[in-house]
Amino acid sequence: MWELRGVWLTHPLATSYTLQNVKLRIDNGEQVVVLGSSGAGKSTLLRCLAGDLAPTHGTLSRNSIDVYASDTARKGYLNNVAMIRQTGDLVPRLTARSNLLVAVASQWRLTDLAQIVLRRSTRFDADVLALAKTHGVSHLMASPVERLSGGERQRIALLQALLRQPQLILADEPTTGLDPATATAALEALRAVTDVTLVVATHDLTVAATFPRMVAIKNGLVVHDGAPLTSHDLAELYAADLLE
Amino acid sequence: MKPRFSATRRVGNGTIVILVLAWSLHETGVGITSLIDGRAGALRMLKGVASPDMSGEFLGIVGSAIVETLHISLAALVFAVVLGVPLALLIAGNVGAPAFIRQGAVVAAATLRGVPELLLALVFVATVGLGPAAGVYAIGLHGAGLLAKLLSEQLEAVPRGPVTAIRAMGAPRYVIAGFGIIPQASSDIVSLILYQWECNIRTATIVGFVGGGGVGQLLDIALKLFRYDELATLVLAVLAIILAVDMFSRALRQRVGATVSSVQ
Repeated sequence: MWELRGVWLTHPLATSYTLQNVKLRIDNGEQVVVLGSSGAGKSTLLRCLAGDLAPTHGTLSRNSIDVYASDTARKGYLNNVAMIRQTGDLVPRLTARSNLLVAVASQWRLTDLAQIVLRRSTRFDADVLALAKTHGVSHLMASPVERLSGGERQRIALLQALLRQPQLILADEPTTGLDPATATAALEALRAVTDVTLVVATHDLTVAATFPRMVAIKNGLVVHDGAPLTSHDLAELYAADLLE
Repeated sequence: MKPRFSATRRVGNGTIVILVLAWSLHETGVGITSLIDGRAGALRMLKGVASPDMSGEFLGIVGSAIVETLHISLAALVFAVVLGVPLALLIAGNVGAPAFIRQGAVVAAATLRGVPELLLALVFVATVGLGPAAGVYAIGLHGAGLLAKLLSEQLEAVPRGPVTAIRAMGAPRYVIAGFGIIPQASSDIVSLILYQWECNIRTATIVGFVGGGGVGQLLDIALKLFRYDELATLVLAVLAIILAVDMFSRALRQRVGATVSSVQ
């Protein structure tokens, strides 16, 4: 269980609070969508849950243990969370394989990492290949990521997250820039992952409507937390803020 | 708006500046008279330069000196890269080296590039003796300081998204640098190293004047002994090698697709 208690957070690039008194509890295995217009605080909320941005006031806890209680607690927390950002966050000029290696590099000793990079160890490649085959991208491993399509890059980003075997996956606008068919496929791949808690941030109402739980956020405030809202309710809540 | 200085003060300041400039011109002896006085020497030089020494024996000597100059420039480049790249990584803010180490690297790089190559060459001639090794150390150390500054700026300019993403995965600094920053800046790194080689070639022709080996030593001898025919051959050879290296380096930089097309 993850819990945000009375979280106020000032984004490093902002002067006022980006999140205001956020109270949120997410149980193991839940699939939650965070809905809001641009600048509402969705990404900040996800980065806060990822342990990347510390609350200015309030607490983030995992199973009732404060994530920021100690460096060890935070490191342990970071190892169990994976963030899928927009596809531009893959490292250009590196192959898909190397981008996947980056995701788990912190789990290897420097000497092991060198062996993997020089392909003198097959441990990493065996794991990656198995996972890549499941997601139909094994043929892309040797391709530089800038040559991949948006959908393919999104798959690689998902594999990056899965390789870390996290308990919580946070996906920030995972369908942005994808055509409708590719977006649906990417979202299905994401939601098909079992035994993992999933939080997806989006401004896409169609994507949001498919989730069992919707957290609506406006100007840093949680304005709805529960079953998906109807289009009518959302229109009232956001007026013309959200993109159809 | 009220003027910053009064009219009297402006005239006073202007007079001081003019006096200082006039004093400098007078003390250095520049002027049309010195140029007229030097016409005999200029004519002698022009006569010599007009008939370069193209004898086989001398061309052989020039060839060896040019090869030695190339060796100096490349060996110095190895030094500059081995020292400069780690310094650049420590200086680049997005790598996230501890503040005191970063500051130390900044000071070390500023010191290395702050001392002119000729001064360094004199120091190394006094320590390791006359010859190309002194030139290599001098050019290499100065180049390391320059590369550290220029490379650190390129490393800091890479898109932040991938670096932030890797950092958020809890990756150590060497992973952030090795997988997130260096690959994104790789073509510019290659470009800057090639540019440094171009600079090394130019400097390698000069350090010979103070005993740092290479074609500079021959230039020095030719000038001191008034052998202007030999001087002409040497200048032509230096120009040829600089142009050749410039063209080769530019072609390579275009091939790696560097965004840094020219560095001044």
